[in-house]
Amino acid sequence: MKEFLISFYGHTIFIYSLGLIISYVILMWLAEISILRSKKNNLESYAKDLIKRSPYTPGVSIVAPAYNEELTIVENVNSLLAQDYPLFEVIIVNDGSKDGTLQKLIENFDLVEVPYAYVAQLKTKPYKRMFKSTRPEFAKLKVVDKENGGTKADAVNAGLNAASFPYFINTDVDCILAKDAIFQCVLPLLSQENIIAVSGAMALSNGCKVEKGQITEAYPPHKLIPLFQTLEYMRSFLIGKMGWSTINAMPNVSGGYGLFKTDVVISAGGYSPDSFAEDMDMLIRMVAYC
Amino acid sequence: MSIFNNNHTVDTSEFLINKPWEKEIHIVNSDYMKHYLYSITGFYKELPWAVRTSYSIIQISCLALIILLYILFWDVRRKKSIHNSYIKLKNKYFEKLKDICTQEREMNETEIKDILSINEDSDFSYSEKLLLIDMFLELKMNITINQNSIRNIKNCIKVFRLQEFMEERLIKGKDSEKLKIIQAVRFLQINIADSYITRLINHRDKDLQKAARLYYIISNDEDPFRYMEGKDGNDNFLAWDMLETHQIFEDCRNINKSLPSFIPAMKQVNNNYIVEFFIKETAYWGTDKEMKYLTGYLDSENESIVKSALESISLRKTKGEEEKLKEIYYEQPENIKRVILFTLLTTSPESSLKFFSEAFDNTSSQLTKRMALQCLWKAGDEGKKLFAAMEEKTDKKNKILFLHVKDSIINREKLNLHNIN
Repeated sequence: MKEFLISFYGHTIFIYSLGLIISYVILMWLAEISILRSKKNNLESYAKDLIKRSPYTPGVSIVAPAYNEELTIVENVNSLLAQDYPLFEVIIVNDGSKDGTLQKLIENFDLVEVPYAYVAQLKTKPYKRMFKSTRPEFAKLKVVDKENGGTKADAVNAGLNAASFPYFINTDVDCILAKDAIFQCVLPLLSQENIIAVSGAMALSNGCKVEKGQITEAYPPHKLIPLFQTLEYMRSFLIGKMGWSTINAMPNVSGGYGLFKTDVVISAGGYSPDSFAEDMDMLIRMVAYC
Repeated sequence: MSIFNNNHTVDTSEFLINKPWEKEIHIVNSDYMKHYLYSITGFYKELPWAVRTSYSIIQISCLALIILLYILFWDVRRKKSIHNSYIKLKNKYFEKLKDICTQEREMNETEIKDILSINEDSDFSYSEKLLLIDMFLELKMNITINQNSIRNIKNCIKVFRLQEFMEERLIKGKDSEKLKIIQAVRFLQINIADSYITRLINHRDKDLQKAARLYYIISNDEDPFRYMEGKDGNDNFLAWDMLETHQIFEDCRNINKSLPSFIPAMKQVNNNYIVEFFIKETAYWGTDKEMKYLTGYLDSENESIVKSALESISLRKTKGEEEKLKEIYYEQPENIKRVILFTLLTTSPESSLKFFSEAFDNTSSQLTKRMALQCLWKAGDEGKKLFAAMEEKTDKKNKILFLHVKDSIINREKLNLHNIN
């Protein structure tokens, strides 16, 4: 019996490992197809110029919930505002922070409370107030202050209620976006049919040199655990997501950075506030709605 | 036999070992090499299938990893070397080219050659020419275009003999290269012989085919919209096509090329996306007479077509459509209602004050109410008076809408025509 159990265990591990390896080989192959396809893409400078000048360029709202982020909030909001895209807004949702997150925002961006007619298309924990900057250079910034909802989903829904544009980016306020992050996500949206969500690739910034909210020198993390996490991110974004997207079967757009069609998300009921895997849950409901 | 059972000990003096996993084997020094070599060349025949499969996978993975790492390092080196070459070229020519292309007069090729220190013997490699094209793209994006900029860019391109290079790549290049060259030709407005591109109109590669067909709009005078729609009308007209085609129409306008009317073209195509696009483009490039034809599309059953017609009327501030807009208003869904209100604000604000007020009263949508109030607020002094009167009477729930519309910081946001939610 003992021998049988050990043998059974051994065979199970073997078959599982074999299946896993084969599935990754297939995904790598699919991801390669995706990379080759992307090489056929438009001339980047031509595409950027076209997007900058066209009256048809779609607007994008960046929605970033913040909960107790006083240490990094100012630098990261600056990074979000530095996007090289002609039509966008940044909506920071202060999800009932208990530290000085909101105060830091008010002080650094000269925010004042405005009488914003908040329309709750998606139900969330109570909205308190809206802040906007008195300085024209921060006109793209909106700060929504609400009661803590316990999950990121609730805060994103509140941000969506304040969004003005047909597309939005769901990101975290501790993410540093590349300057052309919106442009890179909008491009597939424009050049392919029936796209409702686009996933961006993410990596760890431990080890990178960051100045004024922008990465000036990119290096891998120096410690072992973040290095492994970097490896896992690479597997997930460059092999997993790219591979699945080649056959239009991407199961999840990361909650860290993804672009979505606003009306589809609202029509599908918004992010589920009781879910801790709101990104996957949302995508499945969006696909079901479409 | 279990592959996990290795605790057998046998005599190792045996020379031929058929089942080594059952035996303790002592291998020393160079025997290791021979052992692995024989094992590999013999495809691990002596081992059980599970071990053989695992060994194979590990070996293939190691091999693939080595190849992958080699490609990665090679690619990084290649990119670095390309980047260095680009910087070298940029340091040498970019500022000079910038000066030339921002001159207020057209410079001839001899002058340009003198400035750039280029003589008849100067030759550039294939990769350098590709980098020079990139540099011209960057240049065009970074200068303020004046009347002579495009002519000077063209002359500079001739000096570097890039036009011949582009023509050659359009014949011999890969499909992706051809696509990028067509885009560069369009972006830099180079006068390339039409045949180099029009021969690609029926190319099997869809992207290349589309790029060539868009170029046909510039090159053809008689029937430029001939290839806007595919043979069966089912070809997708994507948002990207909309951006590119609009730019092409603008380029046509810049070079004084007249475009045929969009109205007959709208009737000839079956694809609703193209109809919507032509409706919108009529507002940008069409005549006032053509604008009048758009009224008919306000009765369309297709919501997107109605929205496009409204956007066009709003963009051109076409007068005389007020009654029609008010007539169809109550048949429309809320998002179209908001576009109608915006259109009335741009075309006839003074005569629509009462209508804005009614629109506010007759809807349950907060977004439509907000839009109606915004229209009133922006419709001049009379509008503001009516706004104030309504504000006095309003209930607590709607009060915030009035405050929102009046607020100077919120009002800084301009309404964007193609992005009205």
